[in-house]
Amino acid sequence: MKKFTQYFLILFFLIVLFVQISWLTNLGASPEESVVEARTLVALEPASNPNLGRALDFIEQGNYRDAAEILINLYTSASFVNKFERATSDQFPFRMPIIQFSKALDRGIIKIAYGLLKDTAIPADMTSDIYYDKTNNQLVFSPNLFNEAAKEAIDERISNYEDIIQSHPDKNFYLYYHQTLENSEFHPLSTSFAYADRSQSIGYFEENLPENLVLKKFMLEGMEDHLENYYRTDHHWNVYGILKAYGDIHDMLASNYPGISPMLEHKDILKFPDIKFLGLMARRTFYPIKGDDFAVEIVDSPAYEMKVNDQLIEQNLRQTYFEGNYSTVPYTNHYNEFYGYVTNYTEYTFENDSNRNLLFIGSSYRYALDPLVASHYKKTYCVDLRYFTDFSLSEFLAEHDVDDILIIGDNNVAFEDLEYWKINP
Amino acid sequence: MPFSSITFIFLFLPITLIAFYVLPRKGWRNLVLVLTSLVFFAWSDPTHIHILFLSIIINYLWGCFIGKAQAQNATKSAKTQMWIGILLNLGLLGFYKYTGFFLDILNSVLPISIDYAQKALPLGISFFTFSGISYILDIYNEIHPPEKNLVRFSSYLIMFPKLVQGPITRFIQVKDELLQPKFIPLGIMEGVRRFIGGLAKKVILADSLGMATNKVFATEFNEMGAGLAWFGLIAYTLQIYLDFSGYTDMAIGVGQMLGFKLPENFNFPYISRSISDFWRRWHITLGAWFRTYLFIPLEFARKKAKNLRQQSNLMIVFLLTGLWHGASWNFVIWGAYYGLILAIEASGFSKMLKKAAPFFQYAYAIILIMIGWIFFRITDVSKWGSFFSALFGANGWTNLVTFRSLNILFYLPFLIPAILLSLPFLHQFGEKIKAKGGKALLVLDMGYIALFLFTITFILSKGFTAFMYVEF
Repeated sequence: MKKFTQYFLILFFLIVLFVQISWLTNLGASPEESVVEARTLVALEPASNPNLGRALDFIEQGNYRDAAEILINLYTSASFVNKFERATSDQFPFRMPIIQFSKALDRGIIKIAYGLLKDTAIPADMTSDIYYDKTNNQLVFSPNLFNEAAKEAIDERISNYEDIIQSHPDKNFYLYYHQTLENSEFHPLSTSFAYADRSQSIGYFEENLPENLVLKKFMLEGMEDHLENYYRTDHHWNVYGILKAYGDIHDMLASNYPGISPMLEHKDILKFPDIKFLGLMARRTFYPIKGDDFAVEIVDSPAYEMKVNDQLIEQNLRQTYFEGNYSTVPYTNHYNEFYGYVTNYTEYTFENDSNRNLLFIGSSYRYALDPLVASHYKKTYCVDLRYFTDFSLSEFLAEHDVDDILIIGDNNVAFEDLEYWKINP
Repeated sequence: MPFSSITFIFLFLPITLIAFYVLPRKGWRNLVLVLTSLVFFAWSDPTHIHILFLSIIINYLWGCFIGKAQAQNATKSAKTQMWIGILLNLGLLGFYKYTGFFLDILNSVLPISIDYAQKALPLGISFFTFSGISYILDIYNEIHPPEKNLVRFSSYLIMFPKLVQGPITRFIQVKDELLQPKFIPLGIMEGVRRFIGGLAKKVILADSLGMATNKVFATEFNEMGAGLAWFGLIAYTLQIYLDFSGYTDMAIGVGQMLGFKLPENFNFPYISRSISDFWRRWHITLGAWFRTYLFIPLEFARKKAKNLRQQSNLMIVFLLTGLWHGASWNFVIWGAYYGLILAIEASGFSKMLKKAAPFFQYAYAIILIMIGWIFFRITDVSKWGSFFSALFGANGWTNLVTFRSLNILFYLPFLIPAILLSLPFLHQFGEKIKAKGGKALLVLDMGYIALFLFTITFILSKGFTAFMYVEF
């Protein structure tokens, strides 16, 4: 007994051994997809590394000098170390249950810390800056800030708008801004953050609105408005938000496009009964919250052709869903799976009587609107500047016949972000 | 390769232990240690591996030169070789760590403008350079003869448990183990305990508190109330101790698993009763290094100086201690701050302090230590004033930036275990259980396994961050 008690910590080495055996048994297995993280897990596949393969070939041939050179270069490159570190973590046995357990512990500690306080919104975990809003049973990002840095960024974007509008005076420029909870005064934490935006940023932008930029806003009127138009676990708008935005955009475009075709009528709203949509905030925090209903619009649309990066799409994602071919795995990103081809460039050609073409710039919020808005134009060129990093408006307009340029988005896309959304004239 | 990475814990450490112990000849164990240490170093800093080789060659050769001169009774030659060896070590350290700093000073003082692109600091250079200097000086002082076996010497200088963050170990402290590596099963068990304890300190507490302090110290201090400023300072005080002592626990633990007894680096520094007491408990091996190789020689060299000799020597030692931590003014001032306090204590204040109530002694020490951490943490000297203002209530108890707006309120509960681990009670309780053995030890070890699993969940879910003292 005495010996056993002294050597109990051999268990430490057994745990280490278990992990190693688990890695060995997974060695060479094809890379797994992580639905929650929306990425392919890094596999422990040394043999699949082409350089390592070459080094092994050299060793077999007796060419030790070249083999050594490759191995040293391989080992001393940070990418190898980073990939290896990532792989050991990604292939750790029971990784997901362990992370879920850790997130549950986070919530326990957070509850202890907030136990005596009356906060209605508390952090959903310790790493994400996402909060659980108890009153409305939803997950929310922390409020965005409106400070000097934000003002400077907006000023730079205003100047950018002025530049591109002056450079292309023959085009119609439209901006559709939709407010999200983080920028509104209805955010449950807006009073806890001295610099919370509380609609100040859009106010500042409007005060200095560039000439000849047509602006239309989708402002939140209250928490109810947010709950009606956006998901509770995801940052995106839901079908009601999408349809409202479509109506607004149609009105806005009509101001300079008298012959615009009437809005597409939505025949129905289809709810997928076996989907409970757990969005980005649920995926990041593993917060135990019931998923949202996933409902989409059904519209009578004229026939159209869709190209993603010049590749003709035979059957688009929406049709796949309508045919019942979708994943019911929890945490599947249904918003992207249904609406989006997350890509830099998509082109629509509609069979209609329009003789106008549109350049449509925006992020994932735009994806949901693409075919609806595009139905009013002959050709619509959809651009996501996060991925179309070498985009130049002048070059694009020189190559494409465009009448209207429409930018849609939240604060970032509309007037704050300088990394992706400042348009290269 | 950080000790708290999955790769180290589940791959590097077990492979090293197996390779170390299964080799039939004990002499090969040092070779295993050298090779694994090179892999360990290159994993994080492959571009500076040549610096490690250079340091090995310099210290090995000059150790031999001094030994040879001494064997021939060529005292003057031995002294010359000793100085060359030290200057080569200091040159290496100075080139990488201090060139930019001193050129900045020259550029600002003289009417010149020398452009210099600051070079990346080789991992652990401050630590292995000081080990090298101690080796040279110990040979010169005839503490031990030069090590003729290059592999054995290399395994001393670059031994991976102590390579990047110490403890700064003298050759004499590990000489026997290098000569006769031993397999001590109970030592391995104790090493595992020490390693798990350090890992948990680092990953669960230091890293969590680090998340909070990073946010606090990145804030505009004039928008911060006293509550947040004090939290930031207390959290940082605990973080730096738990981070560095956690690393040391892991280093000593890994050392024990390999049969080495590395020196202790901490002895509950936050229960110090004076600043001189603090420097006997904080980063003990660095303090011992400066005491042995600088302060005592200075005392001898200046024994004829009658006025304020000890005080000025303390000032010199602590200015250099500050500079050792980093080539920037905040570290120099941090060192000067301690030099000044120690000089005052040496001038009779210590005797007065000893007569005061223990509570006053503890409060005196911890407040001065915490003030010292402000100079250490805030590298931009111009911001110290606004932080002190916030700390002493110039912006009120709370201001524009709050616990909620920084989203750090949930780190408050971490202070409790962090404070408990900074006090000796839990450690003493653990030692009693270990001495008692039997079922109590079994329960303790079950606790260690649970703690290990718990820590792994933290690493997997939150990742890990680099150890703080790696930067020095």
